[in-house]
Amino acid sequence: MLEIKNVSKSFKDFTVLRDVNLTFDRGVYGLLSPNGAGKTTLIKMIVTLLHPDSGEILWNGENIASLDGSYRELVGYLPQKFGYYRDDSPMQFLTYMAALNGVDSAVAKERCQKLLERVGLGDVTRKKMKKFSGGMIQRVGIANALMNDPQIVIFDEPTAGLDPMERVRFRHILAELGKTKIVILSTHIVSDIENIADQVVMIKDHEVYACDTIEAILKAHNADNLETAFMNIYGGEALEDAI
Amino acid sequence: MKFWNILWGEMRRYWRPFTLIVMAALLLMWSAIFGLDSFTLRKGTDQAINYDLSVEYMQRFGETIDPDERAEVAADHEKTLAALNEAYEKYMGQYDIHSKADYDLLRGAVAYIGYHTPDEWREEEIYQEAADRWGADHLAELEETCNRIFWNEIPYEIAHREQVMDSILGWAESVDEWEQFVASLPTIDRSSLEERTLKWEIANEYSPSAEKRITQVMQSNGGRLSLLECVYDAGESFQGHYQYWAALILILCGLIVLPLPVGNRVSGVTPMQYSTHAGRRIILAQFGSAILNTLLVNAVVGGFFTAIYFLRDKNTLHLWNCPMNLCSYPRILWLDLTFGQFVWLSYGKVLLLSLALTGILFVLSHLSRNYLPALALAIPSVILFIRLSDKMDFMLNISLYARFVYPLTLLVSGVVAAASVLVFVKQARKADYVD
Repeated sequence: MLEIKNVSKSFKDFTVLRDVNLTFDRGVYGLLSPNGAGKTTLIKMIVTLLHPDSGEILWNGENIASLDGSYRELVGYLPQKFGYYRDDSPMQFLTYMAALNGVDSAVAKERCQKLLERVGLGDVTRKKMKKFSGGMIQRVGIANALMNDPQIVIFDEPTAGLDPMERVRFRHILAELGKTKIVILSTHIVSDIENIADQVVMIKDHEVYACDTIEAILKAHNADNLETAFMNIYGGEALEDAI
Repeated sequence: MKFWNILWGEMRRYWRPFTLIVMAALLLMWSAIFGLDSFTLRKGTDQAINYDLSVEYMQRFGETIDPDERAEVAADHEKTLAALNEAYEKYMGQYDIHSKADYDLLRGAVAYIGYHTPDEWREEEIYQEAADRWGADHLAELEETCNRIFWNEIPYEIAHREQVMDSILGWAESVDEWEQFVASLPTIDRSSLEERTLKWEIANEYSPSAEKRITQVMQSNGGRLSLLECVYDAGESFQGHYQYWAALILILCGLIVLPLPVGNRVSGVTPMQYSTHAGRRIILAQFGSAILNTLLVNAVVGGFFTAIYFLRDKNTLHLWNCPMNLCSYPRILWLDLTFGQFVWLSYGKVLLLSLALTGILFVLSHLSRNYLPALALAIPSVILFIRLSDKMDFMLNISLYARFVYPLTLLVSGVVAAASVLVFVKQARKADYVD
């Protein structure tokens, strides 16, 4: 279980998140809010790239800062901007990332091959990634996030660059992962999570505005669908973002 | 084991095909510009003859030559002089030049032209003697003809060998005078420049501390004449050439180290690396591999240089164990080193400077948000270290610098680099990673 307790984060004088409390258990969580609301900051704290100014993040009751590498090996992360080496093939890149993830070199190649097949890149494992489309790159990122069979999988704006077919494939992967793991999906695109999220976390005015099932959120805001609820909650803020 | 896997992964990442191509191109460029043709100990020069003679005498007499052994050198010189006179007779006899003395007379008479007015010149004894013998109108023309014969037709093994032996024996006389000068040093009134100048013509060139050092060198050498004047020449030649290759090593360190950390940030790989099991420890692996690569660059470039230098002048290796300071007036090294130790010192200096540069560039690259600021910081750093390396070569000839500033420069460079890396790594392990 991943618990976020009274976490706040500021950059200089600007408060990004204030007193955030959340608990994640098995399932798919949609982190939904307009751009700039603090989703990425929250995610970066969960993956230890940022440190909370106050509060703590616990994994099974232990502070993740003290768990260090043993916590991070439980986390799979696809950042908003997936970084890769252009001259590497997906196999080379994933093998390298496997080493960083502590995967034994004897099993790394086989695992990378399976992951690439899982995201539909099994036939281009040796091709240089600089020749890949945005969608293909994103799929390498998804494979990387699943490298060490993580307990917590975090995708930050994962559907950017994916075509409709790839989105469907991705949702299937998410749904499957959500059965056994914590999956946190950060997005400002409502349709990405509408059909698959078990719970939706909404951040507004730097605080957690809601953390509930889609049905409960729809009911609370008297809406037929999540998009309407989203507009009701964020109003002009979301419209401005959309424009 | 896993750390080594990561280290190996990082090592490979530094060596991209582009880097290898640039390195090969620079090595070829350096070979063309600073390669074989520029070595000063090549055949056909006075220095080469001096060197060959030195090696020959070293095998006969050891590293120095005692006064009684000097008689053998004088006998050798007599034989060589006789051979040279025969050559004059053979090649220049038709011009009434039958010996070295004749040729010296002709050259002396012509050389006077530049230092006198025509009237004064005609009054000089040497001119009158030459004019009586060869005719005043033809002196310059005859000298030119004989010069051409001397340089082009008389085998240089005879001509230059005699010249070098002559200078060695002349030098021996200087050493005698020198010994007298050293003995009289305590009695010289230093306030009297005139007296010092009369006592020894180079007195103006040396400070009292330098004189002291020369005395030390003389005493450590037992006051004996050394025929290995060229040890210093070999050292100077080695250093003079290695400085260019040292520059290449420093440039390559910059080229190899700089792109990776900043490149990781630009391409967005850094946050993914930091969020893995290895986490911020990746920085240690990156630094470790940067250091290993610097060692590799030193080995490859230094090895390449060493091979072409010592294969070209294999005999230089004869000097390996010879002290650099063997009365090599007027150049004095302020450290008592053999040629071999001097070579190792040169390698060591470049190695330490390149390691320090690697540390500094590693930190600068990590702190840069993209390639331009990284380059803007790296280029002056590389230039600074190249200049530092050059300046350090000269430090060995100055007392205070050789004893204190030279080691201090290395120490400060190392400490600054190590402190930068330590502070950076410590902070990076705790700090937020902000894109």
